[in-house]
Amino acid sequence: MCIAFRFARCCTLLLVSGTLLSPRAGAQPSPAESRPAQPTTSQTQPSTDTLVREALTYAARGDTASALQRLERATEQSPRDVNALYWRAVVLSRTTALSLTDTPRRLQASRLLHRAADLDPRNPRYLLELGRLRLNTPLLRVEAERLFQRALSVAEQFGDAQQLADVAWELGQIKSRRYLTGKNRWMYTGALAFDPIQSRRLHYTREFLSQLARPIERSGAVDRAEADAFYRRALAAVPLHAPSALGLMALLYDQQRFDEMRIVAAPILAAPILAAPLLDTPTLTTPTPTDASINELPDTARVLTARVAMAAGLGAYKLGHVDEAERLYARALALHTPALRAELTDIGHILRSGDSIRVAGLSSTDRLRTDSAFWEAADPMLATAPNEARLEFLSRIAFTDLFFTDAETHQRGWRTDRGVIVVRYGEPPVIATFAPSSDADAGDAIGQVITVWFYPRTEMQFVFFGPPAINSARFAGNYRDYADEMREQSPFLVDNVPMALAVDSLPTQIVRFRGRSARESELLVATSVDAPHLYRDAELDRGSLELSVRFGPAAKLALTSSDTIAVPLPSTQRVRFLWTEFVRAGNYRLRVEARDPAVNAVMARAQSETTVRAFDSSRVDMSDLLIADRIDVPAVSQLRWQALKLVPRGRLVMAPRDTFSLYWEVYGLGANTERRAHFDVDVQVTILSIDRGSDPVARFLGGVADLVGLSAIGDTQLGLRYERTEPLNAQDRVPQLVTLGLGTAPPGRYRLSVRITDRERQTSTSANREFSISRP
Amino acid sequence: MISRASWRPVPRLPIAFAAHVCLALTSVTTLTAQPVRPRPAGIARAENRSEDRSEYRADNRVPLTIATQSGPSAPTSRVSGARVVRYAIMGAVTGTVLALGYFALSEKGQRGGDCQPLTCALPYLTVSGTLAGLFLGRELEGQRIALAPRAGTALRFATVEAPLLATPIAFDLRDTLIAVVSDSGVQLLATSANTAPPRLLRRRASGLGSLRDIAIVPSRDLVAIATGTGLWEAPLVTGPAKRVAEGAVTALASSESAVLSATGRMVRVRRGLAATRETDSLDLGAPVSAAAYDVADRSWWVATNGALVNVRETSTGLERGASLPISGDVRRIATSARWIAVAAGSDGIFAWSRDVVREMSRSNAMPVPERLQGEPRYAYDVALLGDTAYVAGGVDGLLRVDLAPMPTIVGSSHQFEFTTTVRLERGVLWVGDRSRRSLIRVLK
Repeated sequence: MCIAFRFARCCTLLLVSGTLLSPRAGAQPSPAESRPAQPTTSQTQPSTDTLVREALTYAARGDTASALQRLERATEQSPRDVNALYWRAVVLSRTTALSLTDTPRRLQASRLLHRAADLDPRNPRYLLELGRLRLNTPLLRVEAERLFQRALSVAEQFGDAQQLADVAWELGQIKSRRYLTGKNRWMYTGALAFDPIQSRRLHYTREFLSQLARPIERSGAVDRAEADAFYRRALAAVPLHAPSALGLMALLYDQQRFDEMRIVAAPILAAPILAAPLLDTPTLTTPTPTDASINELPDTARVLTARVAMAAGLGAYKLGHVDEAERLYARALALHTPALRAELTDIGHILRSGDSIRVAGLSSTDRLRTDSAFWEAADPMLATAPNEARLEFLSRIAFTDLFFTDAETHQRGWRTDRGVIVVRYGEPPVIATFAPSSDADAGDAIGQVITVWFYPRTEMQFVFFGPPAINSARFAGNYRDYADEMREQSPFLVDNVPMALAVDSLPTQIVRFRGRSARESELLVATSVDAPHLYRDAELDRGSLELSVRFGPAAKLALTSSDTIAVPLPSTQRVRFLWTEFVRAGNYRLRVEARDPAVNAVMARAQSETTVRAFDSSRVDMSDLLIADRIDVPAVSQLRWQALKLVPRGRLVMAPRDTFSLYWEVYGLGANTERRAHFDVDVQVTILSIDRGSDPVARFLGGVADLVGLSAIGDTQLGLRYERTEPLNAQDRVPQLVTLGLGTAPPGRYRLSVRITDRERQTSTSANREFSISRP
Repeated sequence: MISRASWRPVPRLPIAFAAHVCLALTSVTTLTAQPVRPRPAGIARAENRSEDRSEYRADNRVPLTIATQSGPSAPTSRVSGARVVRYAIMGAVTGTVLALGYFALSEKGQRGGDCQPLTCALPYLTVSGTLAGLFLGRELEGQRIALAPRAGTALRFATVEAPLLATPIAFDLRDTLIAVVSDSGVQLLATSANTAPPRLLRRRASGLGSLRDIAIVPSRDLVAIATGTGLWEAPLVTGPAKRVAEGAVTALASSESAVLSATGRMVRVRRGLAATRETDSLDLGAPVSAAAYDVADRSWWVATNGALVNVRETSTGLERGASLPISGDVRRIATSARWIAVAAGSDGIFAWSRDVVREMSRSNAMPVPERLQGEPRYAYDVALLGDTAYVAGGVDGLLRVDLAPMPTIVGSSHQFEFTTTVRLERGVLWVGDRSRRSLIRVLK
């Protein structure tokens, strides 16, 4: 209970601070807002305590002008009342920004705080606030550290745990900010400095970092160690001091001490959030909240807990405990306010700008559906329980929140320039920070730390400028435009997720036949898993290949089939898998996956958006073309593919001189007087492109030949036309089977077309299928 | 905005030097700021030491805190003003020498520019050099304090390092054979009696994913590999790995001829060769996180959530023996002829002497462990050599702790950037370093 009380008190102070620091702070109140929630209507002079209480009520609502007015009256009325002096100084202090224009306001706040400190030397809060004031004072920021040190001594001397935690946290923040701009420090090894403009040239950044600069070992280690010690002191004083826990977790994350991150977060996540005794606060150190602030207070505590949960989730994710990470992220999102939750999970961050605008314009229902469909498609493997892509996205959000959210600059991590890039492309594999330039020609880089983020895999680089010892940076030069260009090219990459890189493609043939009625289709999905390739590096006696098919409307995929196949190793042949289902007309998503959970590289998937149409029985219609292993054409006609024992191919890449069977079904043929259908069949194989291998000369000459029409591209390699008469059975279905040989057709990509012309009704229909011939 | 014309690569050695002095080395600490050196955690703990001790005295336990370890050799937590002044003087002298060099080269200023050697360059360079020396001194002092051990002395070992293909997750040693499991797979290395680094023999069980632990079974010439999907066995020389048990393995240990693996609450011991292989199992009622074979007692120790359990092989199967209460997330168990110890993450190190355990079996009294808590801040692994424990402390390096008569940190070494594993084989200490992706043999 005691711990919960301290936590609540800490959050209350943060609420007041947060409210005062909000963008509304200092703004002139509207007439409606200027009315106090609990006006003092007494004709007599209100007591100083009452004035202070009213002022805090105004301040909590963002009406700092009215708050100041009352606090001025309170200090005039009781010039030795430390509470009045303190709160007037706080309101003055928190309504200033880091600029010279607010100097008179700061001077007045400073004077009030000094007077309060003289009157009440046992309370460290005045020195703490003076330190905060100095942090907002240009050229005097370094003075803040000395004041915080004095406040720390006072807090330690008089045993005020909460104040001690707050002061230690402020000191930790100072050290952390230095560490964050001091880590990843590189130094020039030559006389050339990094040029952000030149860095847009291909390979500039890679070559500069490898040849003209080198990292400084242990840079920032001292500041990190000191920040670590301060945060731990704060947590020793108040174990539920969430801001200190967050600061410490950031430092631990940087050292990959993920186990310890979870330990730091555990007490805060285990504490009851809403059990805070708000109304029992004994002094004005914690203001008496109004009804409105009571409603807001739990939110503040919840947001802090949510941030800790996000950071703990990040630690669990990095440890590979994905289930725990998913649980923690879910908890964090549930704790956040609806607006913040919507912002955190907004996929607009990782879409092209046009798409993000379209998504933003959707209704909430459509947006939810779009989100689900997006993440379903982005998931590398649906067979593994967590959605790796979404988990990575949330981890990036957690990372930006942990490192770039800063109370001093009022910034949310994922909204910053650096945060935007992390959310899209992940943590940069290479970070180089260069000392500020003092070159007068350096334009807006003068005095700014230059931070280079380099993604070697994609050769992307982003350069930021930021002031030293302040956790803030913005795009350098025209890098904002570059980031926008990159967003259009690659809005979201998960190439840092090992699984996403390991997933292979799964060749799949999808064939739609008419079903048991015209409104229904029979869907056939044939897959061919290249087991020899997937298991090529596995030194195991056998594999255990799990195959699964998920089918349904987008965002509502359901597991419809799964099987586990033992694969003796070394494997020499492909594993085939066949799935059929009767489905109604509509738009569907199909996901076929193959994986061996025990083996790293055995992961493959196929995803297809499939439209199943209704077959028209009033006119001639046909199914898709089914390519299968060659069988002899039986003497009995009208047998369906199952009766023919056709083995459909999943991979439509033929060997040279291969032969295969081609099967399709015709529906809606007109019958003559003898109940027989009479139709023409036209089969054509057209070459679409020729595979000329990797020889550049052959490719060049082939390209020239294509250009002048000398090559075989566009030629019909095979033409087959014949006439058929078939008896029509009761099901109005005429199966057809032919065997095709490729002869000496060159390697390349081909289109196979079949056109059916009904002689009775003089209507026709056609179907196409593409396939390839591999090089020998 | 920076225009192309305004930003050009120009030689700027002096500027670069000044900038690095100001930022790369000093982190923008200025003269006006007081030195900030927080007291180490040990001193803060000292204030609570009496409470800690009284709390533990009730059950006769004496926790080892950093405060009790801060001996005369512990580093000072304050910047040495003398050292900083020394650096400032060196900077001033360097600046003066440069100015005098300029004076000489410019023929007493005859060939100098606007900035004359004595009236301009000398004061400018001297002051710059002094400031640079001051900053440099402060930074180096800060580094010295930050990187110094918080308890005991700074140890330095002679080492031989074998680079690995990836970050080591776990390793096992038998005689001259080392089996390492990393994200990249299983590597077998051979070591020799001399100081040469281990050489790579071969890779085994390629392709296996979610690797967790490894154990060598010498009499069966195989390695047992624990993964998130099952227990695998691979011959040491050639041949494919075979899956011998399904389910995520949470703990693994081996004796000369048997392998103990745990999946959830269940422990299994497989022993014998192929023809006569048999497996016994035992449900311990709580998830198992670590296991070790006790050579001295010819039994197994298994860490569950809250207890260290002794498991014995009998003619009828596995039998649950003594149970020692522990807390925390046990990561590794180590045994020696005189001690049993566990590394329990943030709960530190627990160690029981054999005498205490034997006494427990006789008198049914609850054995009291010796504890090392707070330093290192997270105990990843422990190895025992006589009465000495070596603790892998992550960023806190490798710690050497004397367990008798009471646990005392002798010292720690920051040669290893992030120690996660430590093993002793025939008196030779081996350390796995996560940051450097290497296996390190400590020579002396």
